[in-house]
Amino acid sequence: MRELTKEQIQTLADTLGVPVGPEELDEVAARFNALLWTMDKIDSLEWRDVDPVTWVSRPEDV
Amino acid sequence: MNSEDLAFASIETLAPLLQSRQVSSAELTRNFLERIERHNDALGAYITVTADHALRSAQAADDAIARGDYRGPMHGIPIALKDQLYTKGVRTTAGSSILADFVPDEDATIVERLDAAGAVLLGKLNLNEFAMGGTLAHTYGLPRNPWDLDRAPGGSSSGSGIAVAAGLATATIGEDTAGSIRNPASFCGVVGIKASSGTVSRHGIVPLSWSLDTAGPMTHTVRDCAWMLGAIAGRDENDRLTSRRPVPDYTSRLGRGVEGLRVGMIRELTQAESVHPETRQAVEAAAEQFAGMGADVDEVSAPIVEYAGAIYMSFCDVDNPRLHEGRLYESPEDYDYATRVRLLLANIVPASMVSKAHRARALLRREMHRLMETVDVVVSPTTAGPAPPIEAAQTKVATVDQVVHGVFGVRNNSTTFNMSGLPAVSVPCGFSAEGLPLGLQVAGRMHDDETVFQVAHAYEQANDWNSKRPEAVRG
Repeated sequence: MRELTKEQIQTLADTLGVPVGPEELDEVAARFNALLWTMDKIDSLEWRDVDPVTWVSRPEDV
Repeated sequence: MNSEDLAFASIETLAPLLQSRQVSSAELTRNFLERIERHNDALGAYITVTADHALRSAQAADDAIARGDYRGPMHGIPIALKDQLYTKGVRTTAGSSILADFVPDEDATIVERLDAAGAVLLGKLNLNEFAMGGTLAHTYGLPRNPWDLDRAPGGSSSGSGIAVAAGLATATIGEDTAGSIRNPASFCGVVGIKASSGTVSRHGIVPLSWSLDTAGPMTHTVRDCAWMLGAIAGRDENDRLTSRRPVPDYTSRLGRGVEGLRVGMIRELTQAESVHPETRQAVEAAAEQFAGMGADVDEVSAPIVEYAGAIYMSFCDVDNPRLHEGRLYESPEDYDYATRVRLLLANIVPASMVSKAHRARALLRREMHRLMETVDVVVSPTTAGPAPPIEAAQTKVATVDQVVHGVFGVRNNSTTFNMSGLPAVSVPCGFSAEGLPLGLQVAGRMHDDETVFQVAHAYEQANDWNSKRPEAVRG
């Protein structure tokens, strides 16, 4: 599984100007890497031919 | 009826008594205000109590009923609102110190509709900060589960669940982005519905996710829930995503039973390793009961729901960045730790990740709608188990494994229905060996909330789970 180090996460946040401090870094990094894990899992699904629309996509839904 | 019986009475019990003037709204309201005074410090249910307003509204309701101007089952019923809904002239905090002095100059559409139906507003209820879940330091008091004060009440509509379960309001409004009505309904032993998406206006609700936020009722009984949903549902020109369909009579099918209906028990949500054995047993027993009542019950499979919580967490917090970006960047310490972590993360998540998550979400929606072509309703545990200890619900996470199982996985049962837009109700289905409530989730087809209520009502009527009261709030 792809995984970013805490240092890489901190650099990413600093570059974007997002104020991730030492108190939050562990959890932000864990959650970021968990999302990467999710993306790997999602790759096994047939999502590529699906338009990224929500429940409002069909007129009859509204 | 003594004061405790009045406090725990359902709308279906109280409405005829109010209409026939055997009970007054003023009497009910005073009773609740006394109970709130007695129990709220221990339970942390209310953030703001609108006592004077409530007493005036109750008197107005009694006067109207005396004149013969009875408006229906909500008339004179004391209710309370999650403090995420705008109330004109009454502060709306969203559970955050940041909004401690925010006083809206208009009511949410839901509030206007409940007022028009004659409901009496007792006050505003506690919640996780900005309805995001996992709050560590509650600005307005730690919410506790009335069934065990050391247990979490669930969230983010914590106060909405507590207030009904503890007899501090006859009914409440919660808001459900990822299970925030159904989760506390399950943990607190009450009924709560996330209606079909587009049923209830989002106007005047402090937003979490534009495409998922759905407010709804939390009540003692299924019929109460159906009545209250009927009072708030319907097209709102201030919310372009509300449905143009006429509001149905959500009680129209109550009492018809389940004979001939096709009930699917979702394998991946019921048999998952994370599901507590007592919860699984209660849901399987409910399925057997449905079969005994003449329903055609089968196990069904929807493998994609195993990713629901993860997909949800990949885009939800990115849905609404503008609300927080200024404050978050300037003074992040104003947010609770748990809120702050989620919002900071949302600001560094790559767009490619969010785009993929939206496609996966659309796929989940498609799969769930296809599944619903084969059954009338699906059932599953509302939550993986009974209410956890408060400390366990407030733990910081530091590893990928903790996030995958403790943050993503626990949301599969609820977010499946938020992301697919399908209606889902939680109804009490028993108690654990430790005396904690368990919840059965019944979900249906898009805009077929009536069948969801029909099935949940049939189950409720065949059992007696909602007659028990928490010992901590007796008297």
